[in-house]
Amino acid sequence: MKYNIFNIFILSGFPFILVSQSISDSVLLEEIELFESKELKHSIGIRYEIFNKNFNTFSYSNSFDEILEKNTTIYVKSYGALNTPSFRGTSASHTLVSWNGIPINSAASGLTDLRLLPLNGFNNLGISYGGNSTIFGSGSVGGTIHLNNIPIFTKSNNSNFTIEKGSFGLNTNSLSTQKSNNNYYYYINYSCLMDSNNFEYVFNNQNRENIHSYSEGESLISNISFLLSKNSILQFNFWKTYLFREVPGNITVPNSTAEQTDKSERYLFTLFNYYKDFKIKVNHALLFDNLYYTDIPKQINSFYEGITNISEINLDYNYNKLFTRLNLSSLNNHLKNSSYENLEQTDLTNSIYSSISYQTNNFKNEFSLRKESNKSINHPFIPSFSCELKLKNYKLRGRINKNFRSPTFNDRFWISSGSIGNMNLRPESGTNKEIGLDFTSNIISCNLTYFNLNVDNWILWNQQENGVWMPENIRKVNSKGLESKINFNINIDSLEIRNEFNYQYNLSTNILGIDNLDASVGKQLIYTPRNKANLNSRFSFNNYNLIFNQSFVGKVYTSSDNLNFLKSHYTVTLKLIRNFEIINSELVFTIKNLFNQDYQTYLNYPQPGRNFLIQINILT
Amino acid sequence: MKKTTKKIATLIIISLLITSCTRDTNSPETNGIYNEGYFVTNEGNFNSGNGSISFVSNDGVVENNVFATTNSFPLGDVVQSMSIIDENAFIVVNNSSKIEVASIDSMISVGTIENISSPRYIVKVSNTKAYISDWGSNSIHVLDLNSLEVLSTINVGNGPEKMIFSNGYVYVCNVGGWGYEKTISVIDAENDIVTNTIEVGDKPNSIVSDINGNIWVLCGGFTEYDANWNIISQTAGSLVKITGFSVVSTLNFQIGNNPSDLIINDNGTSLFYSDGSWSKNVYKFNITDLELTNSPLISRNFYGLGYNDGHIYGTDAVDYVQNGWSYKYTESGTIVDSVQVGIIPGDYCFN
Repeated sequence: MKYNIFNIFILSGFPFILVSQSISDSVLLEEIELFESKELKHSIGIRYEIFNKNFNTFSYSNSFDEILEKNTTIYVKSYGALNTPSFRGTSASHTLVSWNGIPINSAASGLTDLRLLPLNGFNNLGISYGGNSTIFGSGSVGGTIHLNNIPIFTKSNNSNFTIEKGSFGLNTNSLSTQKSNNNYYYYINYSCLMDSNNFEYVFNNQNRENIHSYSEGESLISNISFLLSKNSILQFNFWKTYLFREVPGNITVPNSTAEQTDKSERYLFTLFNYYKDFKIKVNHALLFDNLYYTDIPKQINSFYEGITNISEINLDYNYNKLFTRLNLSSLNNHLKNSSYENLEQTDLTNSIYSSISYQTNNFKNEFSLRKESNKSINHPFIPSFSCELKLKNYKLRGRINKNFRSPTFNDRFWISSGSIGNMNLRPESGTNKEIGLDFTSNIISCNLTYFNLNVDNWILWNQQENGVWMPENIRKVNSKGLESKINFNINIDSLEIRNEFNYQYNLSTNILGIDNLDASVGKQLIYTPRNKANLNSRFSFNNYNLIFNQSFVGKVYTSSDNLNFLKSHYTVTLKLIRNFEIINSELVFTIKNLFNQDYQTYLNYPQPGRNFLIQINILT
Repeated sequence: MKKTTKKIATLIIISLLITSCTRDTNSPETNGIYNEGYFVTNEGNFNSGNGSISFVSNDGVVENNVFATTNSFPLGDVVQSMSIIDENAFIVVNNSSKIEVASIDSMISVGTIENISSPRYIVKVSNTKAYISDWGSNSIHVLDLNSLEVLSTINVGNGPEKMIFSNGYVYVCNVGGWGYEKTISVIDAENDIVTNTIEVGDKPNSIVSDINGNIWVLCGGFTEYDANWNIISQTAGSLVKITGFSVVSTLNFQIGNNPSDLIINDNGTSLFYSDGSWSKNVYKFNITDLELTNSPLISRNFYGLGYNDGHIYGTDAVDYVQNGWSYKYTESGTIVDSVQVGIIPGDYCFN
């Protein structure tokens, strides 16, 4: 059987390495005590969610941009070769992406392109709303995305092969294999993708094709873990990504010639020991992150190649109802960049955080504090205090904390004839206050969260009076809003309907003008909608499932004086899933943008109209 | 986009960091005939396709987005400059690699010149020909004004920028584009061949001709840094006078300053430019002066400068993500009024 799968794979003609469809999502919860993720450990008082497959099918063609867009109130803007999130009114660099607890945002730009984060290949995907810099460090200001491979030491042996065919030349294949018993856990996932993405749109009353938008990529994700003894785990995680993209211009730049290649390799070694009330975890991550951007007719040939080493020691001590943690880490970045003078720069940051938590069945609180040291950036203490109180079906939670974002390598070391980095930048500093109420019963669960965050010393590239662009700590922003989420189930005979409703109202405003002409003061920040909502419903009947996703995004402003905007849009995605028991497989038929809406998430970058996707999953 | 040193690669990074854009909604005025007033070209944000044209009537009424409103499609990405040639406006759209041609009376599109890699400026050289400077190919394209086809291409120095047509010759500032340069290419406009290459100061960015037929070139100077941001080398900006095909005088600015935006008054007797390091001012220079002055005419920093009919005009792009402003001054530096125009107003075009 194994060989058969492999043959299909080879025959399908994909030239590179690849990824797979994740294992069922229910497995991970049982083992959490053994291997607890950082974000779960520090989830007291905050809004933390794990994605499950109720309202989505986690395939390689569907990366994090899609799940955030459809299943959350986070705004995603897509343009050129970039898909970035905005959590709670903050900007793309205020979202931190964490891979098994290791930050993977680009050290050069501070960003992570969501298209590079596949939904398959990980068995634990989550998001934390609101920044948590005390735990995760720089960049966790608006929210944090978590991608984890958590080993499960129960006897199991399965493989999963997925093939997708979609409109506009989309093809993906993925294969995953998991094998485990009570001594070891082995998981590997390979996926590959080819996509022409040449959808049509209307420009100046003419039909035009979205040319120069081809992409191809592959990814390999694996986790090999050994239970060395009853209280010791050795874990190895690996994630390799390759993605080549033609970078389309906006509708006014139809003949783009830019190309981008992203390559990364990530290694993580973890040793975990557990002695009664004392736990020690030691890990080391080695990350290679490369980006090549070329536009030959425009004589652009730029790149960066980053090597990051992160070493971490984590000590947990538990005495009665008191839980304490001490975490020491050291992060070394070494970047080569065609636009850094000397072509390379190195930077070392050491950090320490400690937390103490008191937990009873109904009451939990946590205080934590972080301090970083870097020879050229002065970091303040970053404290966080949170608590939650359970009363029957209700949970009241709250948090007050500080967040920060260090200036990136580009911010500091960039040099070219028209722009120059700034070595004197301070870290952006944020404060976050939130309070939430959760209600859970058998039929319905609701969450309501009010947040109010500030980002001060916001770094912005600004043209100086001599015409040179330079980053400065000039913006001061306030963002406040309300998030709500309601889950409810309806059962009618053998028809089960699961529903999830999300809504966010957000006021995100600039509060400091650069001079008295600046009309942006008090206005909504660009590319942050005031309103975003979605309703997901899953109808299950025997072997049939229908997922009906409705998504509404309110208008987003595209200029800081709020004179220009993109109109609101409402899109619908339909997924029909048919399970076949005979060969243990699943057929998924998806219609995206059902009503063929013409919309943009970034000015002058059209989105595809109605399109289709067929996915076949074979499980063994 | 007038600052000559902007590097596209840089802007890509910047655009990731600042983001921006426009779909305009505030054009209540009806389209008029665009004769009684002047135009401001608004670059818009790099990679957002929201460049635009503002028209300011003689009585100070502004109509933004005149091209997009009339033609119901966006003008393009980074509107660099505009020239009026005969009855048409030639709008140079740098990052869209094109020049939109529209009737000057109505702004109705009459054609598009496409596939010019990185066009900067256009200048008329005869009744049938115009020259287009192009950073992308380091050349000047010869345009047939009747067919709107490129007839031929003339290789010049790096980063051909502003041009002036004088006595049958076109003088091209080779500002360096994405590199370094210090020359003026002189093209015989009848035969479309480079006849001279004149070495001037580092990074010549703007050029005018005076009443006597002399050519004045403003050079920005060049600064190079090392890894620790120490300046390795720095050259002074300069104001260079060319008579015929030879440099006859060079006046150096203070080292560390980056003078830009040389313009000249209607009688061709007084030059104006912006100068300073981190804070610029506007200065005046009479063509008979022997030294540069230290006292500014207008103590204000402008993104772009223009001169027309006894008045100096200057733009302010505010935060580069909102509508900017255009200021009008008398020739003696007294402010007359100001109007709000489009996003990143960079250049002027006068009828």
